[in-house]
Formats: sequence, structure tokens, C-alpha cells
Amino acid sequence: MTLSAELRSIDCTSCGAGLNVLGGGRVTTHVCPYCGTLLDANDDYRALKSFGELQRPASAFKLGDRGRLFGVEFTVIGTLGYEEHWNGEVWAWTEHQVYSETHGYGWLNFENGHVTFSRRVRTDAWISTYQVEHSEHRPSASCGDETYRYYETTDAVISFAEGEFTWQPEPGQRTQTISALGNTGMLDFSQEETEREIYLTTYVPAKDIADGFGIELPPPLQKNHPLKPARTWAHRKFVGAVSGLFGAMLLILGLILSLNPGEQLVSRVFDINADLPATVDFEITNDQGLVVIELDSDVVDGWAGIDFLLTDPDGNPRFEIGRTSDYYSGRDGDGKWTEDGSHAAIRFRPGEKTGPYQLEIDIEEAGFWKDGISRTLLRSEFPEVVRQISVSVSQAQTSGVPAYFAAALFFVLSFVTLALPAILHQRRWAGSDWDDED
Amino acid sequence: MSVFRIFFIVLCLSAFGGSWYVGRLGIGGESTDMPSAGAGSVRVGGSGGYYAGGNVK
Repeated sequence: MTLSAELRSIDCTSCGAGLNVLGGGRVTTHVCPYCGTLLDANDDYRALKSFGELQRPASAFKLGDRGRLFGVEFTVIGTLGYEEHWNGEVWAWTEHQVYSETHGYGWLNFENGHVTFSRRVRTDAWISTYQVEHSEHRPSASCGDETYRYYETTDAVISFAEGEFTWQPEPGQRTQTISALGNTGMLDFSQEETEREIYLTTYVPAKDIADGFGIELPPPLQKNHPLKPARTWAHRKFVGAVSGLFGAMLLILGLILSLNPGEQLVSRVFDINADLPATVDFEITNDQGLVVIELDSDVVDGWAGIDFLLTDPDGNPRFEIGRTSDYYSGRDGDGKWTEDGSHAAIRFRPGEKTGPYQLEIDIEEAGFWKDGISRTLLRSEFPEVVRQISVSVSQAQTSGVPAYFAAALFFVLSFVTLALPAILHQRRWAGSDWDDED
Repeated sequence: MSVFRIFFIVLCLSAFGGSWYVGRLGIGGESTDMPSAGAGSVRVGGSGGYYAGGNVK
């Protein structure tokens, strides 16, 4: 039977409920939303079987919703709930058959807050289950100007049906779909008994649904969707290139600032026994940059703790601080080894206090650590591990730390912006079930 | 050239100039165990740094 153009409602032949007829002449099946009876639209809506009450799946759409997509008016005529079970996990989504008087049929798919639109296409492109299971490389197919690469195989079961359809869906019915992802869409291949069906699916932004259907979609449960267009940024390459350039310039600046030796004010060598404790006088004339007190010693297979007390031009102690100078050597299965920590430094900024400073130096402790034994020496025994120390003071040294920090920020910015397409590509394909190692 | 690109280059030049200026002042290069300047900032006792595993910057 062909539906007359005037027919807009019927009564369910099972429960008597009034049902709107929304689809066009290719509708073959009508599932009553009230009693779940499958009616044959081509045979006076004869009741074929009853599915009873089924759990209605989550969706932003309902039967009879009308809206415009791609400049075409569509009406939601049918609802199918799908579930896929795999390894204890369950994926559920809802597909709505939609009808346009001018453009025929399509599908609005709702999953985790994302909406996609599918329409049937005529193409020779095909990816078979055999290809998926036996190919060493990800199978692909071309359609139009686009190449689609295998994404996933979906073995789903229909969990819910209501409304009108151009075929006869039944709850519990199993379908297998092979999906291949292109730059702008996804091809879905399914083999029916007598023919192949190929659908092209594209992403529908929430704004288009709001504008076209007046429906506000809930926030997506998962932000990413393989078909969701990636945001593009016109300045991405510019920002990446300029950030990389300035990162390199800042790195060089940091090296120059770090390697600046400053101006040496004093350099002295002290004999441990004869000269310490000692006092060194020097005058800081530059209030910018760092003052650096550097310590070296001839310590061998031991350590020496040196104490520094600095008094500022006002006669006030600026700081009292200690440094360790140590050096160890030995031989093991890998040959000779040394651990040289004989050099140490104290860096500070004098601020506005220029003038004569006084540095008091003394050795507080010394000792050795050998064969698992640690021993602190008496002062008279210090020369067993250290005989001399040298101390130098310089001013106006510069710091490369701020430049290194800025360089790191710029390199990160450069990397993120330049690597963004690769990151988005990886995220887009993250849901694929293809594994090159299988 | 767009306003954003000019702004971004100015930002980069500012970062470069700022790093140079601040680096010349020695900011960021102080020893990490250095007490801040000023009265009362002195640390009494010479053990600071001895047992921290050797050299402190």
C-alpha cells in the first residue's frame, strides 16, 4: 500500500492509540510508541509482533520534532536505541530516522551529547570485514575527493524502537558496521542480505541544532568526538615560529648572562693551619648584579666545612653561611671514578649597600668517608684531607635564570602550537579499535 | 599584520628586554639558602649548607 498524501494519522491496530504519520511514501514499518507493536505500513498497519514496553534511550530529540539542517527541513519520524557490549563495557546511543519532503531520509544520531547526521551515499568505496581482519595496514577507501581510513567495527544490538522506518527494525536485532574516518566525515559500511549500505556521517554542532531545531543540547559527557571539527587558529604557525625564535634568543641571552664573570674584587689562598681563621676586606662599588664568593680547596678523599661571616658597610652582619668542599676518588669494576664537589659559591645581591665589606672565613669541620666509615677529624688533623682553600669575590655578575625561565616558556608555547595538529589528530583517532601490532 | 601579531611580537620583545634587565640586576641568581638583606636577616650558626649534600649554588 502506498500512503496517500492526505494521510496524517492512524490508530494503532493493536492498542488503538492515535499515531501521527510523519514519514513519506517509503516508510514500511511503524512501531507504536505506546504499546510497542510493530505495524506493517504496507499492509494497512497490520500488527506483526509486539515488543512490549522498552526503556526509552536518552536523546535530545523526540518523534515529531521539526527543524532545519543544511538548509533543509527535516522531521524526526523514528527512534532507535542501540547498545554495544564489549569486555564488560556498554556503549549506548540513539539514532533518529528523519524525513524531508524534498530530500528524503537521513539519520540524526545522538551519543553522549554529540549529534551527527548520516545520509546514504552511492559509491563504490568499500571496506569489508575480511580486509579489517586480515590487512596488515589500516584499510582505507576513497569517496569523492576524500580518503577514509578504517576507524572501528561496531557490533550493536537494537534495544529500543518507536516511530516510522523505511526498513523493519526489531529490538534484539544485531547489526555490524565498519566505520572509516576521513577529514570531514565518516563512512559507515554495512552488509545487508542483498545489498551493501554505505552512509556518510558528519558532525552537527550544538549551535546548528539550537538554531535549526530550537533544542539546547546537554553538555557532552565526552568533550571529544572523532567527527568534531578541530578548532583552527589563524595565528598558530606564526605564534609557534616566533615563540621558537624568541626561545632560542632568550637561551643565548641566558648563556651570555650566566657566563659573564663580573669584576673580580679579591682572590686569596689560605693555608688551613697557618691562615685560618682569616678576614678579607673588599669594597663593593656596583650595587647592580650579583656579588659572588667562590670557594675552592685541595681537599682529597674527604670534606671540609667552611664558614663565612659577611659584615656590611654599616658593621652589621649580612649573613653567616656555610659551604662544603669535598672530593672523593676510587676504583671499582668500571675503572677509576671521582666525585668532585670541591668548588662552591655564595651569590647575593648587595642591594643599595655599596662600600667596604668584611668577610670572615674559618674552617669549622673536616673529615673523610671511606669504605663505609665516616670520621670527623680534630682541627689538628684537618691537613690530612685539606691543606689549602682559595676564596675569591667578584661583583656585577649577571643572572641567566630569568632568561632561561622565559626561554622555557617560549619553547613550551612553540612546541604546543606547532604540535597542536598532531595532538588533535592523535586525540581524534584515540577511539579507533585498529592496532598496528595485531 | 594583524593587531594580535603586533601585540605578540611586542610581548616577546618585552620578555626579552625584561629578562635582560632583570638578569643584569642578578635577580634569580641568588643562592637559594641566602637570607634576605636587612637587619635581623643574619643566620647564626654555620651549619647551613654543610649537610645539604655538598655544594649549594
